[in-house]
Amino acid sequence: MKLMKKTTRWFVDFFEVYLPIAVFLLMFITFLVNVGFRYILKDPQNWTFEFSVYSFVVVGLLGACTAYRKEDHVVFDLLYAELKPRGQNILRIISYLIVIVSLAAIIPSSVRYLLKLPTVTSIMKIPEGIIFMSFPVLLVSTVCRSVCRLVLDVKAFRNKTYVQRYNTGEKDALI
Amino acid sequence: MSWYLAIPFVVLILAFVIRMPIGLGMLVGSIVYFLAKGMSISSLVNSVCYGMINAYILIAIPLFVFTANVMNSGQVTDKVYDFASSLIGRRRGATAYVNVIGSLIFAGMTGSALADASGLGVLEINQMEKDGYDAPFSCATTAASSVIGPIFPPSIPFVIYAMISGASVGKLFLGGMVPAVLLALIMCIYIYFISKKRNYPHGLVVTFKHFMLSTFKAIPALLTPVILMGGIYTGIMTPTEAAAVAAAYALVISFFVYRCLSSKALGKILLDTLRTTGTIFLVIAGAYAFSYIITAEQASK
Repeated sequence: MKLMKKTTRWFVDFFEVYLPIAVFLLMFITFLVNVGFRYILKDPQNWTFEFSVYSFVVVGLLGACTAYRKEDHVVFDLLYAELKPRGQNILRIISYLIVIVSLAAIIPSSVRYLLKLPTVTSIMKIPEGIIFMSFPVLLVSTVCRSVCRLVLDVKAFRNKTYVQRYNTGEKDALI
Repeated sequence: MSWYLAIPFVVLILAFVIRMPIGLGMLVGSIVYFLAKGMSISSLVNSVCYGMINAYILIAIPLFVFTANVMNSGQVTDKVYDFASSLIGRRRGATAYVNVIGSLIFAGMTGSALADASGLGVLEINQMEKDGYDAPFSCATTAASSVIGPIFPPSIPFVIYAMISGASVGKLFLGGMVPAVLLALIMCIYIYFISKKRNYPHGLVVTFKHFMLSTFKAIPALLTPVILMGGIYTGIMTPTEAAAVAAAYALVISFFVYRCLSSKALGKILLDTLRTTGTIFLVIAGAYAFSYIITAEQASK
């Protein structure tokens, strides 16, 4: 059980933290290489532009997973803040249910589409399907995390505590 | 235009009510629209992914965020604060002036109100409270002055506006300079009157030696906006490349000049950059899906 938890954590961290950070660093370095080649060596490179643009897609979409994990996304909570804990608990449950159902509905079709996507990048010839897989990763990550949070919120509702037990600021939670 | 167009908007309003993240609300609304209309999800995936590829200029945003985080992580904010402090000297309400001037200088490096409020802002509020200013005034001054961040170049909202409208980033940046300076000036005039009325404390006496020393120490930090703006307006670099060069410069001065950045801190900076980038880009991804629907429904007609 402990090993499974550890493996899951590593797997989640890989896609939500390590991979996008590595891609961001590569994008950053590529930009500097681009400036160096163009203005110092007077030999502009096309691959640098292509690499930056495609890595930007990965950073943006996988970064959204990280932001969801930390509950950093922009929310409109005027109504939510006015409710009692029970009402807030109910709204969270509804919100997660909608997210889970709608995002889970398109995961299979988006993966199928990307696996069959024939296009490749024009210079480096990387299949675009692989790069765009960040989109289904975002969907899967959001759905899995929402399911975990939904379970905790349903438990809180049944126990009549109504309190959010994840991301309470005590520690960097996986959920 | 069909009634299906109402679906994403209804879902978005629902997202507001139930505290669903806005970006996710837009994405969920688009998904419901696609499913209700029986359209292929491939269009949704394409609109999000290719939309981001075509928005090359937006790459500047994570780089500006990275620069801001590097600047905030170490002594760079302290140097800027010391420089602003020695610039103001022994005026009544000096710390409040320093708050505004410091934010104006910092705005030239980051382009984000959030970066200003969470980095330099914390330092400013603490110092103001220590000097005897009341908490509401300290917070209000910090909140108001941090808003100069997205007005004075470089500015993240200007980059987003340029991407949407096709306007020149360089011209937008140039257009933000005078309004930002005017805002700072008006805030200083307000501070002058309010400090007199509430009898806020004077600042410390600044000797010429101290002024020169703090200026000298702040020079590497103060060069950041020069590199950014100089690179863009001389035509040497595009705004995106300038953002990358500014980020590299921020790293160099933090690591080698001020020696205030550890590799552990760099890891946290990268994670924070990723979080902020993800927060912005989920909304942008949702907006791309929305704009595809509006185009497909010919709503503009």
